[in-house]
Amino acid sequence: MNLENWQTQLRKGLLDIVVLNLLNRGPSHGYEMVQTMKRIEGLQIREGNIYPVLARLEADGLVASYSQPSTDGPPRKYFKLTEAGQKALEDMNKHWDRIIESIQQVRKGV
Amino acid sequence: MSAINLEDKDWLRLREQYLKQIEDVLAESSQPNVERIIEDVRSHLDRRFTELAPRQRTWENYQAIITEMGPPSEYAELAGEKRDIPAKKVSARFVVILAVVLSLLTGLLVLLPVLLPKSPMPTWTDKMKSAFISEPELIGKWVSVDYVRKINEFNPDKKQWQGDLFLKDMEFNSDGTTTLGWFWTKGWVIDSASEVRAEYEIKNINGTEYLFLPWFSGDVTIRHQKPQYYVLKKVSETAPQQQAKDAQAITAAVEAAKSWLQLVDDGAYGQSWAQAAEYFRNNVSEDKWERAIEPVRKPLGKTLSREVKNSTYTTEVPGAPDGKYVIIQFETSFENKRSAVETVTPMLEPDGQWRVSGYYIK
Repeated sequence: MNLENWQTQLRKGLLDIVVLNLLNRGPSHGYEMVQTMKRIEGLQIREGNIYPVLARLEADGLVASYSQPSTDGPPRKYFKLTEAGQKALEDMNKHWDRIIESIQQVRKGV
Repeated sequence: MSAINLEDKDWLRLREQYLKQIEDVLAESSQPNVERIIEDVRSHLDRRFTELAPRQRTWENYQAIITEMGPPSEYAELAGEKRDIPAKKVSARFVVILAVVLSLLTGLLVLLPVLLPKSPMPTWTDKMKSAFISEPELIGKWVSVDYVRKINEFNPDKKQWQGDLFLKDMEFNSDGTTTLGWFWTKGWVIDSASEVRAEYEIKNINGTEYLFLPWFSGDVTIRHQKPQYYVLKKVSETAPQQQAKDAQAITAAVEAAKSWLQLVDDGAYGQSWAQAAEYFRNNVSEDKWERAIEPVRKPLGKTLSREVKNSTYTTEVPGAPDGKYVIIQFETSFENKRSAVETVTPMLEPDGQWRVSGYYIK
């Protein structure tokens, strides 16, 4: 089995929940989120990966974007959770917690 | 963080190649958010580029940035929501034919700029000879206040560009030259180096004149995209080159004024009339002048000192025909009036001499 490939696929599969959780801390822009994820073990992604995810989440109505002036460059595009995004995130986090528990159960042979 | 150097052609080429690949991949898989994704990735790339110090701006580092972004194929994969397109069986023969047609088309696209005749772009010399049209409104010094994608995006109360403006100011000279090396003629700015021209626009917004100057970045000169605009505000009606000419004019006019005033000081009123400008003599007869000046000037006594207080070059004087004038104010001390202000207005006459067209003592 190609472990690296599996890890990459897992990371990509988890991008939605990671991005939504990051935005649950407060509005952020793509660049900032990428930098945050780069600092978290196991969540390092390709820098470009976040933009198709954000575009899809926005199209789904889970996040909304707005432009905000920046002190060090052109205006930045910020993203924030919508109400629907907040609700979806709660469900996703619950589901994730259940999966973790389930995997632990399987690992322990319960 | 420094402003993006849009003239870095290597970076621009690499950036656009990468964006084009993403665009193709997304379009191929019928993604609905192509434009949004491309715009976000472009913005991300530009930010990464600006983080590079000038010495780090190398091809290797540009490649590293692109590599870190990830392969274009991943964008389609992560964008999801593919539009369902029924899969069609394609024969190997068709694939070969398609590949040949595509390669021919690609070759043709590469050759097109060579095969097609270039639209004739007259040189600036040609333009100067045949088509230079001045626009007094543009002449002078302008300072940058903003940078916008489209003219109608500009709002004087809300700056669009938050970083440093690369172009701080620009001066448009009356001969069609500028401090930036570009040229201009009414309605157009021209970058002769890259043979590109674009329309500028001057708009009055809330009582202030703004110049929307198309910026010849690499996107315009290389990729032939529509330009974005610097927004500038006028701070001076004259440009340095013009100012130098004005300074020469002022010096000559002051000298002429001093010589003329000496005649008045000496009581040679008739001579002062004779040496005044034609405009002056046409409006006041010699006799009338003598009768007007003597009762005013004689009681003041001898002139003790006279210093230039200020002088202004202008082409317009209220109540006088358009021409070249210098309005000079002297701070003068007379024997019987220690503090007075004399206003003398020499004008440039057709023979190239400055002569007094007006005089006033306060």
